[in-house]
Amino acid sequence: MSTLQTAVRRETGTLLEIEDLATHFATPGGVVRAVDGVTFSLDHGQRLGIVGESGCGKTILSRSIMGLLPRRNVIRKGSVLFEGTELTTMSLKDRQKIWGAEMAMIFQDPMTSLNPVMKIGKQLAEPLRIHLGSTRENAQEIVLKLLQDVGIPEPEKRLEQYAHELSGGMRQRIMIAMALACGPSVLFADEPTTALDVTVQAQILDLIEDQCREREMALVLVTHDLGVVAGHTDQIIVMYAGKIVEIAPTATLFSKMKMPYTEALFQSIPKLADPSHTRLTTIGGRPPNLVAPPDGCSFSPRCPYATDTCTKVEPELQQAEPGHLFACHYPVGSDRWNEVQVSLGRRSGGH
Amino acid sequence: MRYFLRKLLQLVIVVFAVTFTVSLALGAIPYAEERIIAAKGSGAINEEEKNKLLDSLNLREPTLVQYGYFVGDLVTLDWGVTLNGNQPISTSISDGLGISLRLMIYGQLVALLIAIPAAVFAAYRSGGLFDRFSTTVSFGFISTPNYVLATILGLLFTVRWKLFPAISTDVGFFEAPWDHFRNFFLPTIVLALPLAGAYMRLLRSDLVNTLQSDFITTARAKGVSTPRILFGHALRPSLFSLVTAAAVNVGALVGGSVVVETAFNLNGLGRRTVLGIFASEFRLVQITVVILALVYVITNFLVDILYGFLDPRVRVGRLG
Ligand SMILES: Nc1ncnc2c1ncn2[C@@H]1O[C@H](COP(=O)(O)OP(=O)(O)O)[C@@H](O)[C@H]1O
Ligand SMILES: [Mg+2]
Repeated sequence: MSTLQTAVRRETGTLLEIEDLATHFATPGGVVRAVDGVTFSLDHGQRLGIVGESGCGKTILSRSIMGLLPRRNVIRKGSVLFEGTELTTMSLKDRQKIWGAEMAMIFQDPMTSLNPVMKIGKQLAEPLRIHLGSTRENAQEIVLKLLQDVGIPEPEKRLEQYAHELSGGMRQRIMIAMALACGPSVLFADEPTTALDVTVQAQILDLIEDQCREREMALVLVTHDLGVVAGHTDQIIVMYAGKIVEIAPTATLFSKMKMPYTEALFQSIPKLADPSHTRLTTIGGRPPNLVAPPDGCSFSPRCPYATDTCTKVEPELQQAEPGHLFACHYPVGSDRWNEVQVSLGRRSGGH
Repeated sequence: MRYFLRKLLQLVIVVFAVTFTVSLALGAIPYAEERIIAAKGSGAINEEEKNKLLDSLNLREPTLVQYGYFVGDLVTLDWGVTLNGNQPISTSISDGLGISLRLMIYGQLVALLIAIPAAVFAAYRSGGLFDRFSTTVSFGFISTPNYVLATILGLLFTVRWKLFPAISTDVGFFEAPWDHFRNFFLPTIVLALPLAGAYMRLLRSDLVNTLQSDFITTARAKGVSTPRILFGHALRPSLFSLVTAAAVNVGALVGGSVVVETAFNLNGLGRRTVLGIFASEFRLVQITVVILALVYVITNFLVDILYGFLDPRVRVGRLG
């Protein structure tokens, strides 16, 4: 199976189907429900954003999909179909054939994500040598091409360098090149720009987007920053306390968001139009304890619209329109929502 | 290169300090002259011989002159003879060093061969059955004194099963490989087991830390196989403590394996030194100390170079 060929002939249709996926950790303090019943699918070449505050289970969700989790004290449920193949029951050896070849991942901290004692060239060549059985010379040729693709100056020189000799942005480019090496059909990017300087962030996001387009590669972009996914995704999942609370095409989410949590995240994005002294709205309180989440809606303790119903009955995901689901009793635009908006003085009465 | 030169300079300074101290130490020994004469057998030599002997030790010269003579004798290998028996000190030391170096190398190799795979496997499944089992066993070995281990193994292998000679003799490897093996097997094992236990603990805990690093997750996400993750990615950055401990043990084993050398009747450097002290063979002891110091210093120098190889960041001075 040559992955270079699949890089050329890209299919359409569903790439990943995730069904009721759950990942819990058995800890001395109790069972941490890090991911708790997540269902969605991803098409070939589609760019998906997963947003939510820190600790909402985004990282664990993306690693659960790849099957890249520690074995011990982990309770897993649900199904992950990758091009029709069930991954959750696959042996480690078989998953290792997919990792780096069909599914690749880049991480938050490029400072610690590269092996500090192995030359960059060797690390870059590793997936090629493992998955494609490339010779040293052959791998080197591909690696040089990759380094050019991700915009690294003087690629030959980099091969002989170590991670500590490069800047953060440069290292993240190396990580991207390494992930792209075997032409995967999906790239998971877990907070790829969070640890980088603001000026570098946009460059890296553009690079990821360009490469996805060029290679017709699907993207799962994980971030706590709704602003980051806005311009770089086709669809967005909003996660809270290990669950999907809203899912919609990107444009729809921004224009017709339903979930008060999404609204709160949206209000905490700094906007260029704001006068510079505008106070950012931050979401009061903290994400819930995943060992003992609150009854009812997990966001209810922090939600300005919450009623008794919210603290008792957990809202199911419901459809606003095809492709747009949300889990809320009193979504944005509902009577209750209007009422509270008025009482908060954010809006005058009536519709 | 700067790193290399800096280490070389440190080496020179240490060698100077050690030779200087050792040279002066003789003057600090109470009644050194009388003891030397006594060791020689005071009745056996006349006044003239006595003076000649003491002159050759330069005891009555000023400090700096003494040091000059001492270093001169050291480098020209003019080490003199033992008081008791007139054997050249150089022969005694080189015979002892030969035995001790071999014991040290065998012991270290066996210890590392046991410790590295065991540590890797224990760290890979940390908290697992093998990890707990090997922890118990290592602590057992670490806390068993040499002489106990030597006695037990000696009894089992030589008295009970008669597999090995009770008294080892120094047979060269090339002359009689099988005899050489039989002679060095038990002392090697006695030295190696406690070392293996200590090495395994050190490496295991460093490996457990390394395996939690982000770059290991990166390697897994690339599809690197488990053995390659362990040996190709995790091992090298986890070797610092192990290398440091092994390096310290080089010197400690060469000069300090007295118990094992005595238990198996091997005339190594440690044993010769201890006997030398009791016999007032000060010259022999002085030179042995200098040689041991050289062993320590050279090992440390090599280890510093090795650190630079283990982690390229050391070379630019970002660590340590
Ligand atoms: N190995 C683990 N053992 C126990 N709890 C964990 C473990 N890994 C993650 N968690 C918990 O799972 C939750 C989700 O974590 P994570 O997916 O990293 O959040 P996010 O990426 O959204 O910031 C957090 O509350 C975290 O404390
Ligand atoms: Mg995360």
